[in-house]
Amino acid sequence: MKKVKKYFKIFKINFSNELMYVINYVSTFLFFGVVLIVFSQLWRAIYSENPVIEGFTYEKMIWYFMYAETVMLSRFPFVREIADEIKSGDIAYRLNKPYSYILYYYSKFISSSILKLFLNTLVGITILTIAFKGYPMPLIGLILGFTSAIIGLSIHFVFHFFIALSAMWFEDNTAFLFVYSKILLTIGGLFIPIEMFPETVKIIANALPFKHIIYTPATIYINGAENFLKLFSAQIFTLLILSVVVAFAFEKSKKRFNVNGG
Amino acid sequence: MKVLKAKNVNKYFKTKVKKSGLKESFKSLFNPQYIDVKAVNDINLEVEKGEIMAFMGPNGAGKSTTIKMMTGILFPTSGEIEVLGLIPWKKRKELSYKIGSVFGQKSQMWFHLPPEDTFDLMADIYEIDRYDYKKRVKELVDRFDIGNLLTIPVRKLSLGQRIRCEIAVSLLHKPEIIFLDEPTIGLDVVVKNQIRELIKDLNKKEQLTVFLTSHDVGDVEKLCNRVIIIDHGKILLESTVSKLKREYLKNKILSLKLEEEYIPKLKGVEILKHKGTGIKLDLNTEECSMKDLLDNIVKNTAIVDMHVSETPMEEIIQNIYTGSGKNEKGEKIL
Repeated sequence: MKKVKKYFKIFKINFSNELMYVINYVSTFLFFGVVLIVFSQLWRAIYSENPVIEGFTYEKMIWYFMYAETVMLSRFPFVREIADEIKSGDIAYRLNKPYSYILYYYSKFISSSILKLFLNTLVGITILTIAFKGYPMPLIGLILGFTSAIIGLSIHFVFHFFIALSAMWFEDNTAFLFVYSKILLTIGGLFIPIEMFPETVKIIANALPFKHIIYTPATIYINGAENFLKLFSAQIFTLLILSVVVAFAFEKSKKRFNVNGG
Repeated sequence: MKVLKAKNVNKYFKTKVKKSGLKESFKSLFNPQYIDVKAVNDINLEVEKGEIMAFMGPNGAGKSTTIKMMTGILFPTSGEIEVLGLIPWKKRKELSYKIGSVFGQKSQMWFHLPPEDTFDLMADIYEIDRYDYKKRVKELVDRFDIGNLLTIPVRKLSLGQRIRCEIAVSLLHKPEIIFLDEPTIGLDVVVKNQIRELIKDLNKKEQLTVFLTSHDVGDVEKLCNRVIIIDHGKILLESTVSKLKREYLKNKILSLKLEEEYIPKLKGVEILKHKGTGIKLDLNTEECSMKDLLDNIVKNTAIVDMHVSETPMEEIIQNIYTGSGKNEKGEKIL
């Protein structure tokens, strides 16, 4: 129990830390508002000829996009912090404490991300409710989508931790970060749900784990309990597999620490 | 009882090398060349329980690499290290419950939150029982006089206040050994002395073993029983601080005001400065005793005023770094 408690405390202390500067999120909210308005207009134009595309009505599409963007904006950036720690050797000062380095960062990441997720969801729902008066907000989807988004963000954490670890081999790992973020934007299902992709791309997107970061939570959000167990268990399975791989990679890469100086 | 042992420890790092110029840059792209940098070269040392040991050396000497191997963060290329009976890199987590560390230039506290939050977090990280934690915090707060700082965000604390809190936090879990890496760096004289007194006090009351690295000779002089000087990964000198002083403080600096102008010409006396009846001498007491020098002077003129000082410890250490340190027989040891 004590082993778990320490990570919960890191979660709590980081949450307090984030709350000190919650005002900094205002710029994200403004960006979010602008993006929602721009894309709702764009989709309105696309839907002007067809009321339903691949099972998505215009309203459903807007709510999907709102939640996908919410998850996307809730990611807490930490790659640079870890990469800098690895390059400067400061990682040494974190490793001499009785906790797991990966779980230390995960606790920090997930606590900041949950706070952001909560606030972004609130902002997104408020904007869309005002813009589409009378449209029923998916309440069950809200709870299930939030749960799925936490798992999605955890999968994202694992990918980002991999990229951060690459600093052991590469001086500059920004290219990996760039490619990864573009994958999320495209086949990750941020702008368009996977159902709307051409057949071949759909097969590829469905086969890759990236869909569980944004697409799965946004789909659960709009569909509620429908297919929830199937989607959620696939998400959990992906997270487990990736976690084992990252833990193994981290243990192996420890021998590469090249902390000169002093 | 020996709490820390290192035997024939080596640590090599592979470093990429490249000659200057664009052509060499292209060459290096396809045929990279590496050299082994010996960060630590055949180090042997032992530390007794309750000892305050200084580990000194210029930048890049291998001090931090050695500490990182002792705390289990780095694997040595070869050799053996045992800290509190554990092999650090094999039992890093187990060892971390028994040791503490403070790195003067790094902070383990949360910058935007008050120190109280870090204390609370560390209590859970080190799995300290709530009752013991409260008792220990009270003890440390009183000893370090940080009661009024606990609720102020760390970013608002002065460096001296922060270091006091850092050391207190690192002692929360009652470590048996504490590694202090430049704990007094950047502090003013008053705070430096305060920190030194606190470390001394803890060493006495808790039998805490202190392994200290510092560039500040004052830390060594005022705190440590023993000193190890390292450079280029090799131990240059291992000695007790008192022995070091005794062996290297053979020279005395004399500033004299004489009644009449006079320059003593004796073996072992070097004239550093001379202006009218004022004279500054460097006396090597092995070659000429203080008595002989003063006898020589008073035979020729009277002494109006006199001041004697020793070679600063800083200079002694610098001489050892630069290779001009000598042993008892006057032979170079470096």
